[in-house]
Amino acid sequence: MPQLNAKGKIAGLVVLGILLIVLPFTVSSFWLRIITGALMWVGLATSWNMLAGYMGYVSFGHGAFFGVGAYVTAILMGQGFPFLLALLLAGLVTAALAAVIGQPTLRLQGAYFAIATWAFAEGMRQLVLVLSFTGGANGMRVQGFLNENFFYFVMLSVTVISVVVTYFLFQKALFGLKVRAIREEETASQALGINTTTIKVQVFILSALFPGMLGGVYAFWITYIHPESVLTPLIADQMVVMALLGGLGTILGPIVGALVLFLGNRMLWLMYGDTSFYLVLLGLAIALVILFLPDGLVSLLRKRKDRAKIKDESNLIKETAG
Amino acid sequence: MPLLDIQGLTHYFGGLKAVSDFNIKVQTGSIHGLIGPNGAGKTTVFNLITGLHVPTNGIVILDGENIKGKPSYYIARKGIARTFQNLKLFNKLSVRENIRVVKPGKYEHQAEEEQLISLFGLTKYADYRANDLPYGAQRRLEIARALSINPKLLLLDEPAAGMNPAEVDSLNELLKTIMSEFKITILLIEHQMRLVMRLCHELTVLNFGEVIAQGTPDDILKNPNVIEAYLGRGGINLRGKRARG
Repeated sequence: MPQLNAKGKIAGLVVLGILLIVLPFTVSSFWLRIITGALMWVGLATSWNMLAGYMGYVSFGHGAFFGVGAYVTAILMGQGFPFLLALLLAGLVTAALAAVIGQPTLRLQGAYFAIATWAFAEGMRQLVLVLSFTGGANGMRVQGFLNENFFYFVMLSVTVISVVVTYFLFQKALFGLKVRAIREEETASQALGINTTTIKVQVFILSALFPGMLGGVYAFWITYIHPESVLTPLIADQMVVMALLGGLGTILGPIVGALVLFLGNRMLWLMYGDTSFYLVLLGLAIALVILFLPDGLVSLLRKRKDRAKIKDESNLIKETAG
Repeated sequence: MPLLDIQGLTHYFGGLKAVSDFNIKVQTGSIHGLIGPNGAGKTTVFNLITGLHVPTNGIVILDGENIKGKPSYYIARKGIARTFQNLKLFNKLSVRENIRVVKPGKYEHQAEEEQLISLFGLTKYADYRANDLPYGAQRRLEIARALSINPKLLLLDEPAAGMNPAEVDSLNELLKTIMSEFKITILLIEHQMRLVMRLCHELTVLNFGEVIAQGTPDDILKNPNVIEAYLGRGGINLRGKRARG
């Protein structure tokens, strides 16, 4: 497999960018909706990966941020707010919520953190079910806007921003290195001067902000939201499995995982109609990761790279020795 | 004024008394040893100093400031760095990243980083993951990483654990070099008496959470309480001849 140098990578990204921009004008609206959905899940999995993959805090409650973003957007638009403003405010509200929820939950470790976040999400769902201004179990309608291209580009923008933030902040910056140090050894990080509390809350907020906005886009796009569609635990579950399947703590991992699982789901739906087989697929994905690929699908790529490198090095040794 | 002045340090874990009325004065520029049998409370003292637990009682004064009850990262930034008995390296990070991630301030210190890496003999491992290193290199990285935060006081928790005599000797030399290069003070927990007796200016001996002796290595060797703590009150059979402690 040929190695891409920096120039090659940038060229590849430019080509990808062009393809993404041109896409909506070349495919049918049916496929455009599918791709928009795929983009949403790429964004969701990428965001969850910030907290779980890079920092090691596995949250099972991130679906709540998606749902809160959706509901805030729906409520505001119902009050006459324009979409983009409602979306921004939804992001802010979700970020604020994360700042509040983060304080107690981030004191917990491992499984306890997972349970606490899951409980918070369930609590959110129950709350929405009983409140009057959320429409309760009947949900809420949003005034429609029939322009698939518009939703594609908004979804694309939010997702791209989340990936870019992951790359520059979590992969490249010193901040990201500290986040990973916290994942590896939180006690040692604290003992050597890293303010782990602040960093943990910041990462929690970032990881919640994008799902909040993606939820807002979803609300306007689908025009109807209710607790079972935007606050179901299945949302968080999918975020988890997608990032796990693709590869935690990497940029490509959540992207690959989301595409494989979401598009796989759509294929099943096309071939067999509306089935629950998707859930079986999720379970199989988890089993696959645990048994064979603990580092996700992207580790297959890395193994090929490493094997190629070892081959190059041994050839080099043979040449210089001979 | 001593760099580290601890008075009346006491700590209970629930009903278990781990440390009782611990006092120590560590003089600036010295190497002070903290010795005692396993389970005496030495690592607990380190944990209390560095803020992992808030002590039940007592005060910890670093350079004139009472740091008791302050968060760990604050204490580290005030000038105390530590290593861990069981190694707590950032395993998936490289050697270089381990050193870089804890460095305070803006990232402009590449030269210092390289100097530290080469001083500890880690140059050839610089880009390897910490958990891929051989054990001796891992122990050295643990110390190098602690020095990376430019501390005034370095707490070393059994740095020679698992080392053979040759490795202990090179550690001895390394610590002497560190003392002179970095103008630092060291508080050392160690069981290897070769290291302790040669390096330490002063010793504090702990047993069952209490200080049983303080003084120079020579004083300590002669102290009957210390001998009893390490060797027990009964006699020892040496080739049939009975020796007394």
